[in-house]
Amino acid sequence: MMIRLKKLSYKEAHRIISDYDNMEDIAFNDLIEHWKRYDTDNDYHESYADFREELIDVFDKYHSLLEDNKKVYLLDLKLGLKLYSLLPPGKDFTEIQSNDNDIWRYISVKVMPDITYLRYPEPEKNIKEAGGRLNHKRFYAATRRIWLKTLWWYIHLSWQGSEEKTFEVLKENGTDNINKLIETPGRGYRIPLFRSMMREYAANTPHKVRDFAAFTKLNNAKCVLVEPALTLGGEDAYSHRLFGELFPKGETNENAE
Amino acid sequence: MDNFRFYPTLTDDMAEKSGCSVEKYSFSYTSGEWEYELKQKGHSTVKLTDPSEIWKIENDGLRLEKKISIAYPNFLFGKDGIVCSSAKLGICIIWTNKTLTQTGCIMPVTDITTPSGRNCYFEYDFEPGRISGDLELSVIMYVKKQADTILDDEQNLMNEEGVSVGVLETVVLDFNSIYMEFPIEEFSSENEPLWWVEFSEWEDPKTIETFTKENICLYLNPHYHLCPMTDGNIKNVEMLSEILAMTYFMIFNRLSDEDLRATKNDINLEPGSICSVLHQFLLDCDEDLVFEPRERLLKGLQMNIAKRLAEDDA
Repeated sequence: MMIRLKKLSYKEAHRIISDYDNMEDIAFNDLIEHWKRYDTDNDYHESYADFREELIDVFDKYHSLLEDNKKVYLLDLKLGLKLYSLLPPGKDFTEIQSNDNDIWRYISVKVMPDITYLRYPEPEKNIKEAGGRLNHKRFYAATRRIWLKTLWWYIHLSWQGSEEKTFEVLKENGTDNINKLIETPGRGYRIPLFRSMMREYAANTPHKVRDFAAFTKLNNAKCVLVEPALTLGGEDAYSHRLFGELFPKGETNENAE
Repeated sequence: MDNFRFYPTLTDDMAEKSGCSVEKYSFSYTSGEWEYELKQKGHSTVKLTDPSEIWKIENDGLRLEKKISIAYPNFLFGKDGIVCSSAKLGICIIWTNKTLTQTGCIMPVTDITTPSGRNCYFEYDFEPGRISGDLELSVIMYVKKQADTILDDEQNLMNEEGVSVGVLETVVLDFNSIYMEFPIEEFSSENEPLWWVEFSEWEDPKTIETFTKENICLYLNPHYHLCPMTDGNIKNVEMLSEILAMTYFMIFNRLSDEDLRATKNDINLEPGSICSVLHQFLLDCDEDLVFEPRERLLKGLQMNIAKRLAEDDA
């Protein structure tokens, strides 16, 4: 069934998450036990039922990775690819909709609260100090940190034409790559450039997350003057030169601090 | 800082000497099998309206066409120009949609040089669902192919491919109505008044400070039942109109005589700057605003804003 996209405002999302925060201990613990079994009684729109089920299948398959900080990225990646396949960009899910935080808030808070909680069970420091229990940023509050939105955009900005090729390009990365990519748009996301950069980065494995940070940082500095699409060989050649500039001998900066 | 360059870039003088001619954009959209032209108002900030009142950028997309010609392109090459004699100069449009954090390039569909000059023609479609809120279009010149040989007197010229060497024109498209574009924050508090305005320190509202919340912010306080707006929904148009008129009044009063003159005449205004948006505001007024005595300015603002909000509300 095709999803009929629904929205949830910041204010409403805040109210729902704060209600969870303010539950009595027994009720909250009971809720978490249900969420661990992917059991929610949320009244989301029926068109999301298959969507939810498919995401739960992937999450459940890889949920054991939650215990290992280094491996949890694979769960994010697999889930991101599934999410992207369920909500492919196009007429039914436009650029405007994929940017619409209220659409992602509905998905996070109403449709997928269980896996969002299980992925990020720790609230932010200030929320915790105020007696809160859920990670507000990952559910609804920070526009570039809403977890499922970041996964969709990570795949979108890295897309290589097919799920398999995209997986191949991203499989050696880590969770920090997701944040770094999403949070360094410069003047705006240049989508073909980001896809080229991800290919170039993958072609130069092994690498470390800080290499990627340096890569995106140098790109942002360059883009003040240069428009990569207008350079000789376009984005692909630009990405290659950029990486070569950072690591002249084709080596990653293993000794860098 | 972004505008500072260590190499020569296109100046007004160079553009004039080389006979650069930038025609106005033509904007349209397609509905069914028909293409409909959109009306434009303003220069650096352009407001688009659809005579048949159907068009919405989000739902209907936008098609643009533009012609650029350079009668004497040779003036742009060599030591007194912007690129080396044997380099190639490219022309393209850079688009930026801040709302969706996206940017890209539009290349000319034709780019022909004849003995009578160089002619570029652009045609581009933003499909429905691709752009929201705002769109900045900058026509730039860039080094398309670097010179293999740099002459002695060309050492100071930029010779790296993909680097911009001048901006021919920047246009900001405004898709929103007056109250949507005005920086408004709702802040509920029993310790604050019904509404108030906060300004930053303005260094140069013609170029530096943008018409955004960091520099101008109208606060509305939903704690009071008279508050004209709640959750972005207007509850009381008349009240909002009065508050906006007072806010514009304060903004105009804050401008120096020189800034006000520049605002009225669109002199060296950066797109998106406070003065640029105010200039557009003045253009959109049905009758010219009278600035002195000041009470007439306030009355003029009250009349104009009330009329526009009523139109938006209709």
